[in-house]
Amino acid sequence: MITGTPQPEETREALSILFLGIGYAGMRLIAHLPGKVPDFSYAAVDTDAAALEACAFPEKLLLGEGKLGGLGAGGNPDLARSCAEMQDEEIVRLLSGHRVVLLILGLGGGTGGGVGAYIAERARDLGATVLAAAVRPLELEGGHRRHVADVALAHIRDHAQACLVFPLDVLKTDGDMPLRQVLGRCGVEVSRALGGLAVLLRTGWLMPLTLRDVIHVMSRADGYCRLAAVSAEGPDRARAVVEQLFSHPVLDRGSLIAHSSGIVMGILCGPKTTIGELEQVSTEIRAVLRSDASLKIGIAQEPRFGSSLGIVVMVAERWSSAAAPVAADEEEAGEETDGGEEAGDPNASGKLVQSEINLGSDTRGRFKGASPTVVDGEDLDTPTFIRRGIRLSQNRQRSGS
Amino acid sequence: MARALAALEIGTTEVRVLVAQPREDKHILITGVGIVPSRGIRKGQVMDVKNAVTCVKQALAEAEEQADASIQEVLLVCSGGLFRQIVNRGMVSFPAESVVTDEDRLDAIRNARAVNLAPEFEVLHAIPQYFYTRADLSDGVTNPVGMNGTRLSVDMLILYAERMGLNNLVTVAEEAGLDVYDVAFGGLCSALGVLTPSQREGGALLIDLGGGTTDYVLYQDNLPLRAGGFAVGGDHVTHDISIGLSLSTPQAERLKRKHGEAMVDLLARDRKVTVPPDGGFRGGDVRSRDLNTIVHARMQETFELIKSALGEELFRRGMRAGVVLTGGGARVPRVTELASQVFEMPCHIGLPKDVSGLSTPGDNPEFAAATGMIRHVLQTDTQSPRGFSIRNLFKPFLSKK
Repeated sequence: MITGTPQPEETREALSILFLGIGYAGMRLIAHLPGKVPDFSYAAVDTDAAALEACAFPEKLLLGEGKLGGLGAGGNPDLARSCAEMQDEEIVRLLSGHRVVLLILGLGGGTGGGVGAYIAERARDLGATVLAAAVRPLELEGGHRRHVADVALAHIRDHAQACLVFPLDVLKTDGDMPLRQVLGRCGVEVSRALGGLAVLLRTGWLMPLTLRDVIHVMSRADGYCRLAAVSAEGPDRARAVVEQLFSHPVLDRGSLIAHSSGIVMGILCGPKTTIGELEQVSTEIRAVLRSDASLKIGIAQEPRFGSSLGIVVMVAERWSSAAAPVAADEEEAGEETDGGEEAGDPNASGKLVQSEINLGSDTRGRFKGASPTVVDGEDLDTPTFIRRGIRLSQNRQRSGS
Repeated sequence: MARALAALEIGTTEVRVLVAQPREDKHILITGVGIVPSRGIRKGQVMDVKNAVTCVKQALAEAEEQADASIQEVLLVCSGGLFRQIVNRGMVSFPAESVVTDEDRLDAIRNARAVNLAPEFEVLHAIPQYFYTRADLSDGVTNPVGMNGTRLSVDMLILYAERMGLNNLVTVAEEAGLDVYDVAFGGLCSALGVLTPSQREGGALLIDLGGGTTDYVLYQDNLPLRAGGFAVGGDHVTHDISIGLSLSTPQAERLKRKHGEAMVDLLARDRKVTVPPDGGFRGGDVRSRDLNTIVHARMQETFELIKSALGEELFRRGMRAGVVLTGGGARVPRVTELASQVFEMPCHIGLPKDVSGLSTPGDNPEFAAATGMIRHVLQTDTQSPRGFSIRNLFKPFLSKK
């Protein structure tokens, strides 16, 4: 529950954050950001000299000039990685001094996949917090490209604390959409989301949200997540932003929020936004969450946001195989020092929640006696919503017969 | 006029008998249908022979009365809970480069069929896929006769099943006074029943959402490349609802059929659905969002299981016809939307094709397997295009009593 108690505005410690565009797609996706969010460092690396030349970032690094002639890696991640390894010193110099490195890249090709994993590894070695924003290729680009993308993403995940995944296919609204429009829309969505993340990581917060919150929540899941940003103005803005979130393609039209185990949400609003509006947003989102979902909410209220209400949401994408043990949860919760709301805490809402259901053998019900259906060690005769920790709002509103 | 054929499907939800008269224009004229709710069957397997036999007899009597015929032998459809698949490669080598003959082709097929299985399993289908004459397997043709090469290899899709489970189904049919003329995997039958030749050629994933099992077949170039099933079906959805909303199984089944949807629309207003009392269970109100959350979770998981089982094969050659859903589960509202989201490709409902006579089968996805079984037998009776006869494979098995 959000309370109306006024708090002094908290000034965030300045984090040194590097936005690093890798390959052509990575550079394009954040090309506009320096103009809009100038507080951060921006750099680009690529194996394609012409693409790098067109990039306006202050720091740029061409990889494999001698080996590739500045013509790109030809979709070969191994070749691109070998070029990066040969220029290790220059990469280390580029990364040095930054506490957070955000890698932006396209998957399925050579430079993004090959160089991305190597730079993530080196940044981590240097003690930086590494986040990666990766765009998955379209289905029409073929199985091989998707396979290369999956492999590259797994390698990047080995070193990055969290991977923000943007699947291009979900941004198609229908089959009649021209490819250029799909790519353009993807660019807009990714840019808006990354811009939102930048604001989220560095602004004055009434209810603080830290990078540590982001990492902590994401580490509860598999470390893969989706990022989306929405905003609305006008008297019905609270309802409008929630509707945008629940219909956002990157969030599988709200389905990911309902099923995710970890969510970080930054609410950005102007001085005229009321506590009632903030409560409305919080209540509507908490109503659909899983019982064991970890939700972190931060609120920044600044004049520069005017009459608009914006939400940046980071959602753990993959199913957690099982809910975290209660003891571990409590221990983790105890480590938190901020005022973020743990809306996923069933005790906070006082509702009966699904996690209280007995998960014993009687959940096999009518399948007792039949050979159990076990796949990858999971007994599929136990209801899916129980195994996946999905909360039901059902509150036993039964009448007598 | 050709003789009438009868297909028997001993399903978890219903026992179905279909009597059909093949016509010269490849249409199937349905002359009799018998449908009886199942007893003694769980997950497509016999749990109570006596009850199952009673159901078969009732369905048979109903179909015989409609068809005005006496049925002595049936084609038995078995569902996927019993089945497993492997792809085995068989090869013949030539001393020098030579032209592949039909004899070479049959030798390669024979070698590919030779698999060592544990004694409790029985091979039911062995379906040749692509032939290769090059050592690097870079070609891949459906008919290698006349090509040059130093070797010929072929991939064989082998579907095998637990002998005991199959024997139980055959026993039920025989106890009901029937001879089992042929046995086939329900997924393959459904594919023949609903997919058009161009869909099978262009690539399609057929999913038969049954009561106790879910079968799938991946078609490409008119070949079933992968096939299998899970002992998870509509019965599991009902079971999940009854556990989650504390309802009796009949209450849960009625609620599912009347109000269940495969998608959870977070924007739609949550509705209260009144459940009347039933057999000692109290009535009361349940929330439609809870109901749909349960249905969504189970059906999404089922699709994810299939996607995971197919792995890269799903995207390797392109799937122009997308996903085709059939079986009773295809009736669940918005299930195509869910499948489309999980598989990231278009999806639609497949109904039995080229069926006339009684209106029921052509309008019902539940009859996909039974009509497909009849079509399959008609095809193998008149032609054996790929050098194998299912019936010949089954005869040894059927004689083991």
